[in-house]
Amino acid sequence: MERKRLGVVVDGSFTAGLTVRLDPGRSTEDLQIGSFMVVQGREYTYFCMLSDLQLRTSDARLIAKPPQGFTPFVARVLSGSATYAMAVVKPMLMMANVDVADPSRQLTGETAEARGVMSVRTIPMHYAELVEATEIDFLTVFGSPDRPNHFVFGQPLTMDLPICLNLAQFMERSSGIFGQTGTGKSFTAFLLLAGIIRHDIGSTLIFDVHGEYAYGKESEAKVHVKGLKHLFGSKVRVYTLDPSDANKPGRAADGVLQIGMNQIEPEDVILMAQELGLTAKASTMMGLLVDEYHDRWLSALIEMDSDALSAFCERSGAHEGSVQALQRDLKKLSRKEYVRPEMGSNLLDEITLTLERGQHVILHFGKYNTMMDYMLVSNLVTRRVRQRWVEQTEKWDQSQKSEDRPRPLLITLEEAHKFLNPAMASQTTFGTIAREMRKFHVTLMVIDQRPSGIDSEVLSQLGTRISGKLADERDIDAVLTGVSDRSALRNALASLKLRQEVLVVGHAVPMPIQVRPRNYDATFWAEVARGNETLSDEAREQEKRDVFGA
Amino acid sequence: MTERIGEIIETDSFTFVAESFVLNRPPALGSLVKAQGGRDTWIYGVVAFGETVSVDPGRGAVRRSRPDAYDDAVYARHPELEHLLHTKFTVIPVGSLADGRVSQRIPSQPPPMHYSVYACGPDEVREFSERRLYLRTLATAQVPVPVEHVLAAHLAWAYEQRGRDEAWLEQAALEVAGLLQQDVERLLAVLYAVDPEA
Repeated sequence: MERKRLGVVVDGSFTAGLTVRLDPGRSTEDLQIGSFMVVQGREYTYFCMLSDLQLRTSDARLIAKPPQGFTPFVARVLSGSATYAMAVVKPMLMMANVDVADPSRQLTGETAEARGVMSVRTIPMHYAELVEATEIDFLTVFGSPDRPNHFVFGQPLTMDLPICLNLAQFMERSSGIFGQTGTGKSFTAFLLLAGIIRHDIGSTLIFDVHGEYAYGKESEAKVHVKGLKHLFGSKVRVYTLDPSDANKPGRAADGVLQIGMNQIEPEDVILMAQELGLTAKASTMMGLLVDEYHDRWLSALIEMDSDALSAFCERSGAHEGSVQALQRDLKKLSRKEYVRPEMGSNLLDEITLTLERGQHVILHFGKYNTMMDYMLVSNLVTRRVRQRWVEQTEKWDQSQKSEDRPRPLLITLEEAHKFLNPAMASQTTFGTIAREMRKFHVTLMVIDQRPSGIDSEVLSQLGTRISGKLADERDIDAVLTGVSDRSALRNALASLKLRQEVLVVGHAVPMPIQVRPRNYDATFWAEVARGNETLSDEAREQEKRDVFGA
Repeated sequence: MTERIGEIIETDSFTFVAESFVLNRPPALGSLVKAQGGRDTWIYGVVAFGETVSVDPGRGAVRRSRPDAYDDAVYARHPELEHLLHTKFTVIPVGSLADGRVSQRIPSQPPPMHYSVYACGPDEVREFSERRLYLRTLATAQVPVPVEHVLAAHLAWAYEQRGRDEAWLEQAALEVAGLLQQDVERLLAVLYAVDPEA
C-alpha cells in the first residue's frame, strides 16, 4: 500500500526524537499532535508519535519584516522554502522492513512482539521518509480485532479503523482512567468492563458510588444508556447497602449488605479520619481497645458508659479525654442503618464466592452515598476479597494445579484519590493492592479526575492509563508518572479535545495512542449481548461495518 | 533548423559571448539559446547579459542626434554606425544535447570560437526545462550581473514559451526559493518578477 509522504528526517536524536522537514505543500494544520505516524528507514520501519510542530524561516529578515501584500503564488512558494515547518516525531516501536512486504505475516501474532514489532533501539539516518500511517500499520502495532482478548476500544483520531486493547494484558496490572469532568471517564469504564465481562477475562468488583454501572445512567446527550446488569443479566450480581433500593421495579438487588461492628477494623476507621474528625491519638486508642476486646472493640467502645470508660482507661493507661473523643466520633458510624452490632460474614462470603465463580459484583450505596459510607464499605469488602485471593494464591503456589489458579479480579474504584492519597495509600487495602496485588491476581481500575491527589508510588504502579483531557499541570504530571517519553506524551495529552478523545498509555497497548473511544450505544450493546466469541470472519467484517460505518 | 542569431566572439568553460547579427537586438534576457559544440553536440545556455558598445574599445560612442534628427534618424544619417558599433550578449552554458539526450551538466568543452548561436523554439524549451537542475547552475554562475534577475527573466520567459505552464512555474519558483532561501530579498525580487497573479 502506498503511504502518503509528509516529509523527510533532517535532524534528531534518540532521546529527543526525529526532526522532520515537512514537504512543500504540507501544512502543519493537516497534522495533529499525538498522532501515529511512520518513518520509513532503510532497515526498519519506525512507528512514531508526533510530539511537536515548529515553524522556521531560513532568513531572519522574514521574521523581522514579514513580506506584505503578496499574492497566493508568492505565499505558496515561500511556504515551501524560505518559510517551512518542522515536525518532531518520537519513535516508539520499530519493525524490520522485511515484514512490510508480506502484510499477511504481520497480523498473525497475538502480541505486537509476535507480529515483529519491537521496542525502538536505534534511529533512521537522514532523509528517511515520514509517511502517514495506513491501516496495515495500525493493525500491525495494535492488533486486529479477531485476535484473542483484543477488544475494539475505539478509533484513531483521524481514521476509521479499529484500535484494540489487549484486555488480558489490561487486567494483568492496575490501571487508571483519568480526565476532567465530561471527558467520558465513566463511559470508558463501561466499555472496558463490558469488554472484560464479554471476553470472560476475569471477575470484576465495582464500587458504584453513583449507582450507574448496574442499570445505566443518563448520558450527556440525555439518552439513558444500558447498565451492565441489562447487558449481562445473571452474570452480574448487584448488592446494595440501602434496603429501599433492593425492591425497586426493574432494578432489584441480589442482596442487601449489612456490616457488623465486629467486621470493622481500626484501619477502616483511620481511612475516614478526615470525615470523622479523628485526632492524631485515635489510632493509639483503637490499638488499646483492640488489645482488650479484639474484634468486639468498636461495639465495646460504643456501649461504654462513663464508668466503664474510666475503668478501661485505668486498666489500659489510655488517656480518658482521647477515648471519650473517639467514642463521640465513632458513634457517627454506629448510627448508620447498615451498621449492626454484630454480623456473621455470610453476605461478604457470598460476594467473595460470586467473584470466585467468575461472576461480577456491583455494590450500590443507594441513599448512603456519602464519602464516609463509600470508604468504609469498599475498604472492608475489598479487604475480605483480598484475603480470599491471597489464600487462593497460596493454595495455587502449593498445588500448581491449573484449576487452582485464582481467577483475575479487577476492582473498579471511583474517587480513587480518597483511598490512594499519599497519606492513605500506605494504610488502605487499596494501596496494598495497587502496590503488590498483581502477584495475587487482583488489580485495581482507579477512576479519578484529580490524579495528582493519588500517591505517586501507586501511580507508578499503574500498568495502563487512559486519560481524557487534563488542564492542570500537576494532573498531567501525575498521569505520566513513571512513563518514558513524557514530554511527547504531555503534548499529546494537552492537545486532546474535551470530549470523546483519550490518550491510552501503557501495558495494554504496544505504544501510546490517541483514541476516540467507541460509542457506548445500541450497536455496542448488541455486539456484547451476542457474546460472539466464535464469529465467522464474514460476520466479524459485518460487525466492523456496523460499528464503524461502511 | 532554428534561426541563427549570432556568432561567438569570446568563449570559455563557464560563459561565452556572441555578437548579435542585428545591432541593438540581442536575444531576450533569460532566453534559452544553443551553440554547436561539436559533431552532434549542442550546448544550451541562458542569455545573461546583452550590450551594445563601440567596436573599438579606445573610441567610445559619442552623441549623434540633433534637435531635428534623433533616434532612427541618427542611424539613417550615419550608416557607418553599423560598423562602428556592435551588439554582444553573454550566455551561461547550462546543459547540452548529445546523441539525442539532454544533459543538465556544464558541457565539458566550451563552444568553438566563431561558431553560430541559435535561438531555441518552444518544443526545445519545453524538453530542456522539463527537469530543472540547470537552475542551480544558473543561480551559482559567476557573472558580473545580479544573477537573480537572470533567473527571474528566465522563469518568466520559459513560462511564456511553455504556454503559460503554471505548474511548471510554481515548481521552478520553489526550486529557486530553495537556492536563494538564505537571502530572502533576492528571492522576493525573483518571485515578484515572475508572479503570474500580479
